[in-house]
Amino acid sequence: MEIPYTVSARPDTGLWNAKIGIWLFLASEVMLFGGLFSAFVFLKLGADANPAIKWGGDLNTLLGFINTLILIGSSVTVILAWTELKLRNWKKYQFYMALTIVCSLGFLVVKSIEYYMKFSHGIYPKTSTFYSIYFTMTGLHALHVIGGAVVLAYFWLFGYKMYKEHPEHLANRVEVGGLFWHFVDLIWIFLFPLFYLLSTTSSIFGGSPAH
Amino acid sequence: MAHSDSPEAIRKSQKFYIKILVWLIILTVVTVGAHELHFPVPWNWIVGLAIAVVKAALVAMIFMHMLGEKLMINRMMAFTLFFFVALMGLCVFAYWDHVAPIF
Repeated sequence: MEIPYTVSARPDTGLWNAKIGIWLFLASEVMLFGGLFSAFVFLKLGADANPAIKWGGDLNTLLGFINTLILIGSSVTVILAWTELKLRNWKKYQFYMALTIVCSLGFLVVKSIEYYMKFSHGIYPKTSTFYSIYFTMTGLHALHVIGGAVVLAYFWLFGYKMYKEHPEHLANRVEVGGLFWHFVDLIWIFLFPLFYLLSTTSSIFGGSPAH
Repeated sequence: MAHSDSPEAIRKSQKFYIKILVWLIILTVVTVGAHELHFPVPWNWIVGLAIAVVKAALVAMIFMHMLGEKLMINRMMAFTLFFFVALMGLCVFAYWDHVAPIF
């Protein structure tokens, strides 16, 4: 059965189906993370009002900075992969998509190192309100990175058959996956300064905590 | 995403994306630089979040093509953004909320 408007735009909205679908999903994601950002604000303001509550932690700014660069880079590689697909350059598409997946793995490796360093020093979500919101938000974000990477890896590994039969279908799917990936990048753009810069006293040049 | 599918327009947009990448890297370095300067509160928060908003706007407008996207999508996201800002506003307003003593 042929599903209408998978490639062509609907006459009433001017958009194809998945485009509306992904944007509605992203709108719900904004509110999901919005709830957590508001929790962050409440906890921070509560800590400011109560001197007994210690706010902030010793996060490794350099690792956060590296992860920011990795995600920003992957945002560009995913859009370059999509443009190469539009140009019907399969090899270049695969190259840029592979780079995106490598970036996502790199991000997760750095994040795992950070978590390992924290756990090995006895720092867990229960340690403080700061670490509870830190682990919750960065953990949920990491789950999004994993989800996005799995989808993009699927298009990278198994997209060739669709590319041969309906290249525009694959381009649309990669576009939708790319939009999600940009959103993941966008969330990190806020997480990085909130946790690694504004809630820590450590410097990127050292003077960094042991954990 | 792109609104012109001609090969020339796509190749041109690729160069533009690389330029945006450079700007995003510069802004990230500026954010870290501002952190190292140790601005007093609340200026450190204002500077840090202002740069983050600019970076997020670049990603949303250029990479996600909200600039030039169909009106329906922009309205939908403006609606979402309104409620997000309202949610943050409620949190911040609570900071200045003083409960009067009952007795």
